[in-house]
Amino acid sequence: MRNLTLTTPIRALAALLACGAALSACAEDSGAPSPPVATGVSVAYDLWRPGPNDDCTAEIHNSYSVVGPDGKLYPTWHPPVDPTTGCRFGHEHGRDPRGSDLYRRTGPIPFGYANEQLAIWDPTGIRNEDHFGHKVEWENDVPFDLGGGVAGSVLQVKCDVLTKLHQGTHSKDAFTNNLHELVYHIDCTGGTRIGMTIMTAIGTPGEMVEACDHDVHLTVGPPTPLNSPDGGGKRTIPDKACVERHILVPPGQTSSFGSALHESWQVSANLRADNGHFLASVNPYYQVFYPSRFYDPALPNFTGRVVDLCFATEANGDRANGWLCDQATANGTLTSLAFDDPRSPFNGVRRQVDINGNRIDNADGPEVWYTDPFGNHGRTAPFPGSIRQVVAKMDNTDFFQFEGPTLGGDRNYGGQGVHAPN
Amino acid sequence: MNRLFLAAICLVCFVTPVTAQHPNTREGFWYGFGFGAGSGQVHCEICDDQTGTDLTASIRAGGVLSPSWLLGAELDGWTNSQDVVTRRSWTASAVALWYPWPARGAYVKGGLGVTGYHASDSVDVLTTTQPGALLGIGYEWRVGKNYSINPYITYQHSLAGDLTFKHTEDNTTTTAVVADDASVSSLQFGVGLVIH
Repeated sequence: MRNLTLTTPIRALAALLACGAALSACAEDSGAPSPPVATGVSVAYDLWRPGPNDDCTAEIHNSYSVVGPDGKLYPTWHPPVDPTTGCRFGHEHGRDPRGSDLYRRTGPIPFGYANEQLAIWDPTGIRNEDHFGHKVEWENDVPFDLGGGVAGSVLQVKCDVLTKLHQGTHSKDAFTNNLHELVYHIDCTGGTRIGMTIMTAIGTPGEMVEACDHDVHLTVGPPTPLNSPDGGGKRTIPDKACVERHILVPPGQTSSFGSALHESWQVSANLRADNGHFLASVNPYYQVFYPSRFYDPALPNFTGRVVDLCFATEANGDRANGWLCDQATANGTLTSLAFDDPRSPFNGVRRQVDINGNRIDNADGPEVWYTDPFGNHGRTAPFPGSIRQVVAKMDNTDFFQFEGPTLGGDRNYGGQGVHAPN
Repeated sequence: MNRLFLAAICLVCFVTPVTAQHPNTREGFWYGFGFGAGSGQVHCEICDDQTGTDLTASIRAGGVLSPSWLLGAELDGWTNSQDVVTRRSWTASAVALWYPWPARGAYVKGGLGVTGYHASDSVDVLTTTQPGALLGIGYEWRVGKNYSINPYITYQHSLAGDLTFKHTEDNTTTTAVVADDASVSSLQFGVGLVIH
């Protein structure tokens, strides 16, 4: 996939031939079979530029690209370190999707494709997202929880799951913006199968929910776009009061980093037909531990840096005490550390996805729908700004309890020069 | 399992006093019953039915077609309880018993019929009912003028079909077909009494 670029046509052709041999449709479950040659570039393409801690060039970064269903060139997954040159990008996108059993059908995920379609569907509601936030997670043959009753005793459902959410945890973006690109593919024994790419609205635009108290909604400011729809779920994000309470502790106590620095983006995403009929719903929770930022309304950009707390002492003597700040301060030998320093452990590389429920009400089909970028107005033929969705021809709404487990909780995507912004 | 051993011991005790050798004559109407141990399972793509061995029962009756062939009907059942889940399977079949050596008691049994499977907890039920076949072997040890002790092994397997899930909550029941490739199998070991 790295070679699917305009600048390296020969390598692109070779990759396409390989793709074509193995994947007669590289993107069966995504937008549509990709055209072989890009006809242009997306807004998401060529966004990244190296920072002072990165030694890869933008050109190398841009080589990790894929032609999207609309013919435009998009960035896609890449490792933190370029294996060819050994240079470091300083950020990561989660788990290499090529190991997923679903990759054969999905192909490389074009980052920002739903955002691009939104600009076509509603030119007054453009929503672009940065490059760092695209995070991939997947697992093959995951046993689902069917409960403790007869279903759990007699049946077993296993699923392949491949998902990507744009989940930026380094900037103020998510304080107000509830629209984020979601890619969600699931294929289970028993027939449950969903291939969803949408701009999902997570919670209420313009507000976030306190990480320490999920009943407290904080109105932060106007969202982008201003006409962002309201969505189910919520985005719980650490705020100043929460992090100070759990991290700056009296002498002799230990900071509770896990309590303070835990973001939970709780998605409630649906696909619906043009007549409003519900086709499919998923509600994965995307969790991030130890992000680099927290919400501080006293700051001009609302963005506090967690690592700064490791060097702070309150008037009453409270200060950080614990393993993460030991790392950040090099066991007390440093007096400060920039938030984007690779030595900072507050970089959002520890994540997990709770898959939760997957419901389908599409017994009459078809299996391929074209919806607007929010997953609504599903039709059987494409239209401007539409995105191809795949929903199994089935109805599992009256099935047994069918909950997915947690993915990625045991993985650490850090190291190899990864740092905030990530 | 204790129930199974007790049933087998009682059966053996019932016939043990009869020690005379009796010829294996088969005439007219016959019937029999038996108890034993066995296990049953439902199979499908999403099935993972880990059952234990538990009580089985069998009754059958019919007529003699010839010294080598008996025809009849047979009803087999199996039940198992683990944790909160109770499983039951049953088979109703038309059976033919073939005695390759008519003067002796060994036979081979085949049959066609219907097999049902039912697993339930307090609120949910999984069921399937499908056409099936059974195959068995046994031996009739004639211990009286017209009755025999009958150890037997029976294997049964159904064709594939729908597995239905029923959920009841607040007096409302929802039903869904959760698999269309569900088949049922069971294996029984038992000892019975056959009256000729």
